Amino acid sequence: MSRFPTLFKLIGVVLFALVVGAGSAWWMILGAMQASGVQNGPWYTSTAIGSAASDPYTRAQIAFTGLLALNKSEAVYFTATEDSEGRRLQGHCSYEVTGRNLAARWWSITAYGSDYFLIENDADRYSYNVASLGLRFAPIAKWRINISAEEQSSNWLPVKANDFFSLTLRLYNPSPQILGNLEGVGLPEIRRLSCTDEGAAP
Amino acid sequence: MKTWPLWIAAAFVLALAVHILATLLVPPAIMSVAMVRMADSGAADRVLHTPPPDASARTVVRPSPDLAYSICLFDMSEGPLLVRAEVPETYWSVSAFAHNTDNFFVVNDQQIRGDKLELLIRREEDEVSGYEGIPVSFAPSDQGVVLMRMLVTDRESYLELDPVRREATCETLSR
Repeated sequence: MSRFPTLFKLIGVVLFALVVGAGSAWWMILGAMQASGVQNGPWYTSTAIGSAASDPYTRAQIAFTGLLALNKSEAVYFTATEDSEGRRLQGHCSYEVTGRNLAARWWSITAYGSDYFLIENDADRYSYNVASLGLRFAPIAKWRINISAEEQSSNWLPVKANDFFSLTLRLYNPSPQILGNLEGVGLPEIRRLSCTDEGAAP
Repeated sequence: MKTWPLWIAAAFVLALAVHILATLLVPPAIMSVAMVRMADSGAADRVLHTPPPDASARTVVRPSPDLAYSICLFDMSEGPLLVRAEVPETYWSVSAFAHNTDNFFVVNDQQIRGDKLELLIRREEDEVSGYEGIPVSFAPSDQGVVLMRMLVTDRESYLELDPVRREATCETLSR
């Protein structure tokens, strides 16, 4: 007689399949865009967003993190979860995001919490864009956004102290120069300035 | 006879099946949840107009706070969908998404001749008479979402342009 009844073996097989199958799918989905997409400094995107040519992992990642995203003919979405030195974006740190105007009909930078939704704040400020930064008629002007949980005197983009966050750079109707050079076009730099010990994300 | 190798092989084959199924089912499952939420908000039988989202918006992840969204759902099993809209004088686009999340159609205000949009979304095999000349987009799935995005630069322009986008209609046509 076997030491392990068939029922136990069956349960073991099913548990293994569920954990390993679902876990490996989750791991592949979350890393899909970084693995197969385009990296430009701290920003990454995929030319397959919204497209029927999208691979299953990228499609699943977009469903999780950017449902109803437009395909690249209309908009390009860059996401950053790390600063320019590769450190995770955290709400207990303060950052400056700097760059020049971008060659698109419209662009914006929005902060999202770890749940991928807008971050509640008393200032009702969730993004900065080409208009709010005063750049619509200044094609080569430099700009700066200050990101932190504590209020800043200018161009403050609030985040939550005890949470990770990400940034999305949207480019609507980007120029052919951007579309043809997603990995090389000059995108904003994300520089960490300081961190406090209090409020570190778990 | 030792059966362990067979059990181990079965575990890996089943794990592969779970992996493939999970990957393929995630997009339509998430889309279904979002569509149920949209239908609960009223997007099933009319165009649902929402103001630019804030932190309380929880229907779709990563909403843009610079856009006002107008949404309607389609179900090709009930009939083709006729979308009509006035084009606001700002960035504005109409896009359509299949049940697997693919963006199968998009047009923006600068690509539309005139100040009105008419669009017929239908299955390739459906015959629709009386709407010749209207641009057609073929839906790759029976169910899906039509999403209109209108850029909002400030409150004044929003108050001015909001009535224009609210002229939009989504009408399910009988075959």
